[in-house]
Amino acid sequence: MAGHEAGKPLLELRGVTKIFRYGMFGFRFRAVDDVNLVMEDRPLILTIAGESGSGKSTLAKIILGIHKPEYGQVLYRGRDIHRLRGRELLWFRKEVQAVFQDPFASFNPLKRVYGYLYETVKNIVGISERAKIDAYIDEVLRSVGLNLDKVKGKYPHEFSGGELQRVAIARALLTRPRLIIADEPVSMLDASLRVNILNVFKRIREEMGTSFIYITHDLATAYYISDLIAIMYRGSVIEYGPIERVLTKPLHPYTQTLLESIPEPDPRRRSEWLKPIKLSGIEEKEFVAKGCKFAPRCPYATKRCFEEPPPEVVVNGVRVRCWLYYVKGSSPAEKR
Amino acid sequence: MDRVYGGYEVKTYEEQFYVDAVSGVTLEAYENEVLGIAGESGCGKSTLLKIIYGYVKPPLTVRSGRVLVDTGKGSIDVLSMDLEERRSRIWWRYISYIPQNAMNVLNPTSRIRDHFAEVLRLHQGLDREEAYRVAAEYVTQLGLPRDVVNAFPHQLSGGMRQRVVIALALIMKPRVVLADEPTTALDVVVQRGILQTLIERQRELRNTLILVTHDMGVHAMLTDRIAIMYAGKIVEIGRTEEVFEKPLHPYTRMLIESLPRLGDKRVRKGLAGQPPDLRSPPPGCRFHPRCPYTTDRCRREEPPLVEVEKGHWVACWLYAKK
Ligand SMILES: Nc1ncnc2c1ncn2[C@@H]1O[C@H](COP(=O)(O)OP(=O)(O)O)[C@@H](O)[C@H]1O
Ligand SMILES: Nc1ncnc2c1ncn2[C@@H]1O[C@H](COP(=O)(O)OP(=O)(O)O)[C@@H](O)[C@H]1O
Ligand code: SF4
Ligand SMILES: [Mg+2]
Ligand SMILES: [Mg+2]
Repeated sequence: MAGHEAGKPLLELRGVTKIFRYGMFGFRFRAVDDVNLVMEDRPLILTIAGESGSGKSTLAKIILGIHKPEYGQVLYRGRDIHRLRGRELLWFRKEVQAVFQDPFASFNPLKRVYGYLYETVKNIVGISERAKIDAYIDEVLRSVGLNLDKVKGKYPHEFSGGELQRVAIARALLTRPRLIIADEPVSMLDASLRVNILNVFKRIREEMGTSFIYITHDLATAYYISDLIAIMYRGSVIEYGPIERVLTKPLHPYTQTLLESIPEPDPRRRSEWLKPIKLSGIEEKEFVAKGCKFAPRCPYATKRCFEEPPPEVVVNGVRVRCWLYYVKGSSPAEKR
Repeated sequence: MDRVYGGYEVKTYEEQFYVDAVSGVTLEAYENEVLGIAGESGCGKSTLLKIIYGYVKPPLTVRSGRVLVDTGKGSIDVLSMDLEERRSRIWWRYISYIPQNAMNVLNPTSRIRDHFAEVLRLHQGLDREEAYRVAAEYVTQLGLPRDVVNAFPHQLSGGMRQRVVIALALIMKPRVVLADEPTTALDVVVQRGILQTLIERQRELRNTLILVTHDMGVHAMLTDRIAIMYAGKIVEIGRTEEVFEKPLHPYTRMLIESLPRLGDKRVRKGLAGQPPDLRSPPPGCRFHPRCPYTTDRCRREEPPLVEVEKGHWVACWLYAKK
């Protein structure tokens, strides 16, 4: 199963939809709504960005097989991950690993962190000789800027947040995964420490050929490390494409608003940022809106936007869900 | 404020220690200005604000120093009063405080209009009906939907609750407004709207806004001057444009350079190491264990805050006259 087979995508999401029955509004709503994504099988970093509550973590859990979608499929190297059993499931768990936001929540405070690494190597990687296990753990820890001596014998609280997150990344790397899903992996860290972890991701991608799905609400860090970006809004992916294009020439009005609103560490952008914007009080209705979920806040909304959900259209290699780009008679993005 | 030393006296059965969270801070904030306070988490920003507000309750103690507030009729030392006096004489009216995670401070069992009514009754002697009317009028002026006043806090989104808390803090037209990470948990579009309201109101009242946030982007967009805190001390202070353009302190420089920006993929380096434990801060310059320019002197002696250019101060031996 090693080697990157040409042709078959690494990951493909087809019409993935997750319905929660008791969300914050007390009725059924689509936390993830008809998401289509394709990620080629070569070392890539894909960002999934969006404000909190937009469905990013739910989507991550669907891709990891933790949540089962009501509609749609997730294909990992051509296999529907929600139908994997036995050996195939074990294979999937080796290939796809996760790193979460709070490293302190991922480790039992009463257990030495080395124990986690040891068990992963022994049970999943399948090395059984003690010295070999240690040598392997040391090698992997070095790839995240730590080493065995710094880790052995220590409990989680003896690490800083940044160090423990490195340990969590090392643990994910032990199985030599082809894909790592990192859900807000640096959001708990001080801004001045975030790039240290992001640089580790970049290096792993280069040295080991691992792909990443980087989930964040921070577009500046997304730009820094990613090749592709999917912008989520209220459960839908409203724009998806190469990051360079999406973040420099955003198509969707929401992506545009988002980009204008980022406070950048550059006072020269101040006057533009201070141009008054209007906030609505209707956020709650948007999840269940009939048409485009952004319509109530969109400066370009037409009657149709409120009535019909916009189709996904491809413009210059970017998929966008917005009526503005729909040309009559043209075929919307094909659903594969 | 003048040479304020404050921190946490913690006593448990096993141990007893002092967290040196605000260590000899001297700061001036002027009328009609937005003063920002920046720094990594744990450096003492919130503690500093609590001390300025005079919200000093165990384990927080102030060992020495003064906090002077100009009331228009002479200045008063906030720290010389007792808590009750601060509450009735100066809070809301002269200084108001928007604490960190403020959106959770609203009482869940009372409607928004009753939150306003309480403040208006206490400080303006309005009766309930009058207060409701004033509140409804006032929130629409700030661009909130009118029926917000009839809602209970849990019926509102986080962003809306935060706007309510800010509206409350500003209603008595205080001379000094202290805001601690007022938009940190919100998405950027909502954040922008809220901060715009905050600054519009500041310009209208021509008062002083002290804005604490670790987000350097917010400082760049909003503050007139910025103070950089590191491990309980102010290490640099100056006009915001100047500090961003020509940061002096090695810490400030690394702080700004570590931030990725849109449209720039150049490799960046984050800060090495981690901030010190304030139970036993390092001697000399508190930044010396992480600083690339450390000398013997840095390890021994604390650098003084010196004015390098007009209004631009830094505490680092690289700039102090030897
Ligand atoms: N297990 C669950 N049951 C019900 N609602 C949920 C569950 N998990 C998440 N939600 C809701 O789904 C929406 C999307 O949540 P989430 O995927 O966590 O968003 P994000 O990660 O983008 O912040 C939110 O409204 C959230 O409250
Ligand atoms: N109630 C408390 N008891 C003991 N230590 C505290 C308490 N509150 C804060 N501290 C400590 O004081 C220091 C400064 O904290 P804080 O002012 O909250 O920093 P910031 O707001 O910059 O993140 C930190 O080391 C923190 O752990
Ligand atoms: S005083 Fe010394 S250790 Fe401190 S910041 Fe300046 S050069 Fe670095
Ligand atoms: Mg999430
Ligand atoms: Mg704080």
